[in-house]
Amino acid sequence: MTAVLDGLALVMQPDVLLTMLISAAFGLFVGMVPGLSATMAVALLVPVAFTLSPVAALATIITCSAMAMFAGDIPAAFLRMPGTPASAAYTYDMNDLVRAGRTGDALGMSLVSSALGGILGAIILMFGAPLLADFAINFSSYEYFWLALLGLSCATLVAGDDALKGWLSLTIGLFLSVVGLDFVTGIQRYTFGITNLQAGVGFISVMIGAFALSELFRKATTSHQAHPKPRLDITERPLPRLNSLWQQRKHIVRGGIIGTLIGALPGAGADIAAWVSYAISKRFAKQPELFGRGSAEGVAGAATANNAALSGSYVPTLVFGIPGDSITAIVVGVLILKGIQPGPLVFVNSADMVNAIYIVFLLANLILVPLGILAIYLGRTVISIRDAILYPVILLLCLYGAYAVSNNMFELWIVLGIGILVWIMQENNYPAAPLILGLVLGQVVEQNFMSSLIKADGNFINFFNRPIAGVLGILTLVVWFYPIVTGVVKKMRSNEPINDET
Amino acid sequence: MRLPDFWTGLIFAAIGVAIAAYAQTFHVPAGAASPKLLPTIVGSFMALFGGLIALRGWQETKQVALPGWLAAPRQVILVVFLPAAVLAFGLLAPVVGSTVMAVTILTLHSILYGIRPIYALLLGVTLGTLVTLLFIHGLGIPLPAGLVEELFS
Repeated sequence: MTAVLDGLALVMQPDVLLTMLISAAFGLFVGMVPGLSATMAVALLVPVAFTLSPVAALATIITCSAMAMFAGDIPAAFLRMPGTPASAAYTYDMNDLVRAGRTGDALGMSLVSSALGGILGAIILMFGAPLLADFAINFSSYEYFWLALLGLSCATLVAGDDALKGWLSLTIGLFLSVVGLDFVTGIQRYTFGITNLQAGVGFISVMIGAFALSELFRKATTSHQAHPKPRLDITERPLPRLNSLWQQRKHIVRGGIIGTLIGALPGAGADIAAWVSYAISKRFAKQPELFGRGSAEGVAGAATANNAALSGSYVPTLVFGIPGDSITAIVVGVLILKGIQPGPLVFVNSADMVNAIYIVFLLANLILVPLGILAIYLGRTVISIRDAILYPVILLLCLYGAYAVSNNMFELWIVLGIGILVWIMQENNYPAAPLILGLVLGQVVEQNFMSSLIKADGNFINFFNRPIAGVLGILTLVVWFYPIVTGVVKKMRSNEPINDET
Repeated sequence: MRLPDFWTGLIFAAIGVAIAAYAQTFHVPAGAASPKLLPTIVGSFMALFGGLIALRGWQETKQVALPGWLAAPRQVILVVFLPAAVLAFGLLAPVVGSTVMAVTILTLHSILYGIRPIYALLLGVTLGTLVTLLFIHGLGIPLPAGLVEELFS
């Protein structure tokens, strides 16, 4: 109880509350602009968060991402164009509902469902994470090594439709993580005499390059396309009626649970949660024929799931230090930069901060409702902002944000290099998310691998000797080899009829 | 720019080989933990995956699809402007100050996006100064100073 009160005291500081409010406005703004993602919003905020206290920094990220997640629904409703990928599943439903004059059942339903999903996810996080942490407290470097490796493996499996390119992107991130001084021997690796590289490749600069500058490049190549103008008006109250909300209770609860569970899986983020929940809601819907043509049931289930996934992704992040998606990868980076090592011990050593995170989640989702109503009314104006104003400001934020990391122009060169690399990679269908996870988890993998190798005196069998490490190791190998084995079996089966004919 | 998988795979495979080969030059102290172990593994896997991608796309080696934006001069300038702006800020901001560079970059970028120069300048001066002041005074970040910053200090 004392830790909860301590956590509450940490959150109820003027600087924390003020940064929450500012980051909420920023998250709503970025989420509303089609093409700008919640991850980009967070990436642009990280240099700012870096100057704040740990709780204020985390509050900034949590609030911004929760707001951006909902705000992505606003262009979906007005333009039939999702603001963030997490809104894609129910974009047509939102737009058709608003066209039918049912703003409350579209944006209102998504707003309340998002808030409820976030709160439900936070409650599951509050009770689930400490239980898992108790279980993980006896983990050694062996278990952490396999966990980090498993996280990397799962992340690449869901990173895109081309697994091979996902794996390659991961190796680029892993390579970036080994640049700098080796933590065991202090030997310089791939620094080529550049002093600024001795501390490694700046994580925040990589984030800005990968998610903001690369997006500016992409936008520059498509700038001839006309900027869409919202033509719809808000003719009804922006909140759903209570009986309408009550009718969706099962979809909301189911979406919350599904979203949290999917969010907790490494690599499976809010957009996957929304799609899965949308599909399951359709299966249990009273009017499944309306899905894709203006279904409030679909909106309720999927909008709950994407915000719940955000809370769920903090479970592996806090308990194991393994990020669930790109946003929690940033959280791990910020925690480490602030001198807090995520893992089961964080629940003992920084219990007040963990409780502060829970409280921030609850608070962020509560203020989502009033701020969201405001955003619904302002949405039409914001999504009409011209690219000519928006993108130059984003470029300036990239420049200042990168410089702010270490007050050093060198970070700008990293932003530029990574921005160009990721832009070319994405143009050629190489996903960027595995690169970020590789960079964040690379150090965890290497440090635990080296510690384990020293303990085992070079004997690899010891990596499987402890029961949990053994299970995790086998699970990792299954994840690695399952696609290969099934691919070979499928190929052999498809060859069988041809062999029969010949 | 869409390149055939064969060439992108081959480039990454070559980078992977270079990473693994360079790792062999690291000094290895006595003991189990070698600083070259992970870089060697990472480089080898990069070479392997790059090689597999190249192998998979070997039949499409000549299918280079030039992107449509290369035919539109304004878009080419917009693309070139981005690295030029980063380089210009990095090299010139310590000399002329952040505000001057911010205003210049914002104004030029807005003009390239199609805003009339007078409005672009107005926008550049207003937003450039505001964002710079926010970073310096609001967040306490010591951006490179010039004449303008000295006026406000």
